[in-house]
Amino acid sequence: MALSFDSDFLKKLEYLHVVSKKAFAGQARADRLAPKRGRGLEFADTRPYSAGDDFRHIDWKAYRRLGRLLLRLFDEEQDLPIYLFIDSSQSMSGESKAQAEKFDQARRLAAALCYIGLAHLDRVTIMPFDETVREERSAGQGKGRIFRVFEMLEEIKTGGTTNLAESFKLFAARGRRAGLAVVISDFLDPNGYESALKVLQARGHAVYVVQIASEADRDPGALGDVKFVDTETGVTRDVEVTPALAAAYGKAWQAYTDALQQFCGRYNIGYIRADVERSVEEIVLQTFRQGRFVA
Amino acid sequence: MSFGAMAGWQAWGLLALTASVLTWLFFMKIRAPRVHVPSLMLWTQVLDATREMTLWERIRKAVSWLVIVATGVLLMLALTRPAPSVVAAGGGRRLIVIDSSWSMGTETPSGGTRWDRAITRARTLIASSAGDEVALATTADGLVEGPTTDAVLLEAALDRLAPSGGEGGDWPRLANVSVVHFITDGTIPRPTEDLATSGARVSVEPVFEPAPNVAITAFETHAGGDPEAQAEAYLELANYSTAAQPVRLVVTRGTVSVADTSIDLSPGEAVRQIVPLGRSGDARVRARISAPDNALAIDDEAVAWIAGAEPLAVTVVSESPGFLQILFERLPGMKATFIAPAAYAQPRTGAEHVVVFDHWVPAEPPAKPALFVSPPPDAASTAPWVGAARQEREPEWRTSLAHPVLRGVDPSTVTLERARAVESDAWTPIARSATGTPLVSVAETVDYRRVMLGFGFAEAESNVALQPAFPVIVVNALEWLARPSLGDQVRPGVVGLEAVVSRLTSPEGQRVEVTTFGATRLARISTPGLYLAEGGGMRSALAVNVGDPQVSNVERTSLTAQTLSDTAAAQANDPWWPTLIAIAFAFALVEWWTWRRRITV
Repeated sequence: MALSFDSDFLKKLEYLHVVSKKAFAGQARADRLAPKRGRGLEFADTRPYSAGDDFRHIDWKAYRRLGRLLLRLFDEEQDLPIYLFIDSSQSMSGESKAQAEKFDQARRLAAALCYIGLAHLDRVTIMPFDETVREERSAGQGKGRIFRVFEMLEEIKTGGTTNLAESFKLFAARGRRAGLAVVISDFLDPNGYESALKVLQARGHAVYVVQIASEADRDPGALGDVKFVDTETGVTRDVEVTPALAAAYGKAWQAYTDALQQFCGRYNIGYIRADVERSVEEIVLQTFRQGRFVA
Repeated sequence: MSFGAMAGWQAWGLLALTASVLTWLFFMKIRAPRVHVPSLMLWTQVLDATREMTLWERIRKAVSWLVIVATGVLLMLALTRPAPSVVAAGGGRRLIVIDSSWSMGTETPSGGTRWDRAITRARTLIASSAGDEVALATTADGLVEGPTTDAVLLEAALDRLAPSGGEGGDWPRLANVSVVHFITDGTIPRPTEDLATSGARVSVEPVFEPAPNVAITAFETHAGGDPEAQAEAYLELANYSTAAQPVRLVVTRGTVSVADTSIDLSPGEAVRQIVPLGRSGDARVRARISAPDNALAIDDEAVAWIAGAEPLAVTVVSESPGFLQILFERLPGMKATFIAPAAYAQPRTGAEHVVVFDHWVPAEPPAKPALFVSPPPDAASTAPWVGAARQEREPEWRTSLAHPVLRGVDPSTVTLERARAVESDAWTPIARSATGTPLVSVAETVDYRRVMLGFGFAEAESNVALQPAFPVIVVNALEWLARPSLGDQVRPGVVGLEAVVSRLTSPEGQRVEVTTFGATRLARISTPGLYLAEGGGMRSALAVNVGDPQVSNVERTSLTAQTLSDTAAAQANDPWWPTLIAIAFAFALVEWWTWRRRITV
């Protein structure tokens, strides 16, 4: 499926920016306030001159009034590192159409977030993962790069099993600068998601979780004797799906989702649920804003 | 329990197989459809949590299994058509006897005839006795098929059968019979004790259903007192119904209607009618009735034959017929031709019925019925076939046998001057003189009939010509020779005929087999009507009618109320497989509905 957004939606995205709960040091000058003082345009403070400081920043008017050499300090505006982790495991695009829509939804959301970041000169990195982190792709800077982003996202193929913890450990070992880590996944990982998200937080990233879900995840849609096949592992299991069992499964899935949401709340991780039945526009413009993920 | 579609062991086997297969299918793990899920993680959680089946689920599963098995078994029962057992334990040979009396042809108010119901019942019995030997019999024809296990043969035999009387016949006998099914309407009482004495269990299967009927219960013709009428027809009509109804009566003579009238008959009323028949006309007389409520057709028509309707052609071979000529000129219904002995030749080409040889005997025996009057003294030499001659002067008529030829003859008025007779094994004297000389002899075989009078009618021989006995004995002899009476009110069944009758033809022109049994001849007549009897040169008609109050009164039965109620209950059980199918359908519907509503395990 070719990714594209209409111009109206793109215009709306340009007015948004990704909200980071923390300020991160960037690599290049941009329009996001950096945590350190630098050579920005906005006056921030003064401090006593010390040998070696740049004479050009001495506040001569203050010297005339106070007889002391004071150095003028400015806020430095830099770019924000945004890491978009996209789950490319097989569970995101299974055999059924409903499952295939999960990966499409994930790519569209990633593209939207990319465009917001590019529009604000943020450094966006796309990181597909399954049992490990695959080849990371840098989107560059500037909103003109959005078409390249579309191409990059379309090049991502699904496959393999989900292993959030191993993937994020590997990412952490690469020593990337701390930034905004957005994890777009269905979080159906038998090994759990808790340790993986903690690893990201421990490395200083501001973490956001976008849970992709489809009707096929919530309801088996079948009654009677069926052979369930795990899309990722190929493991099968014969199950006599009764209405009671189907209801039990529905409750288990809801409990799993609730647990993910509670975990995110407890560890100050942003949580957004993005069902495939909802449009990207609705999710970005309403749900992301309500979750204070974008503003 | 027996089964209408197959043998018992087959049906039970099928039922057991059905229940087993359905149970196996119910619990069999079929190859499930493959459903791809994103992850088995949550399913594993749900399934690994030990999940005990609730009591309701256990009950529901058991009920579902029972419903499925019951549905299958009910359908199989409908297929195998079970019926209450009619066979003694252990099975064995069965004899099915169908009452073939005429009343079985009665139309029933519920449709069809009693015979149809009997045939249907017989088919059911045959079908339910698969594997056992079955013999089929009727009260008229005896054993008609079997014993055999081939149902096709029995079915074919049933197709051939039809009511044919046989009310008074013996029970058909068959060895080693365990059960006798007697299918009857009970109109003609028939004790079954004789059947039970052989050790067989007797099961009476009634097919009785009351029906209104009108009938001709008697019909015959005889000479009446009306001098203008050749004869008169006597008939009896009866209304065997619970309501009065008009009965139309039509009497025809040949193709001419002689009476067409309507008679109002009260319930249970019987009336007698006498219809005068004219001087001339056809010898065949037919009566037919019709009425609104008339269930039995076979007794609506009756036939009769006027014996003297056709003139009798007589050839008299005599040198001087004398009183014989005078007599034949005055006898009504006689057409006599007189020839001299020299003119007599064989074979006869004339159309006479009887030849009278007066004082002369041909050298060869005549081919036609013949009356010999006083054979000549040399008859034994000129005609050796006639026997040894014997002569007696002034014989006294002493002994005479009861014979149609002598009916109405008073020997005391007869004075004989001489008697000339012949004796041989062929002749049977029916009147003798005091010394034993045959005065009147008859000869009767399957080929001919002859009468010999040992006396002449001339004054020198006897005074017979002057006595009333003269026309009586001559006419008696001619009638016995040419038109013997075969009896009135002959009913279908086995009929005894005169020994001279060698050929019997049905109204449809079919030859009826005549068999010799001792001194008599027997014929099995299965349908009413006017039969033509021939033999020994004579020709007569046999009127066969069903008319019998016992047969025609189809409103009542001799069967007990208990027997009727038992059979009604049994017959009520007959068509219960549609109910089984309906129940099975209801079960399937309930199962489908609960599945739709997911009231299932």
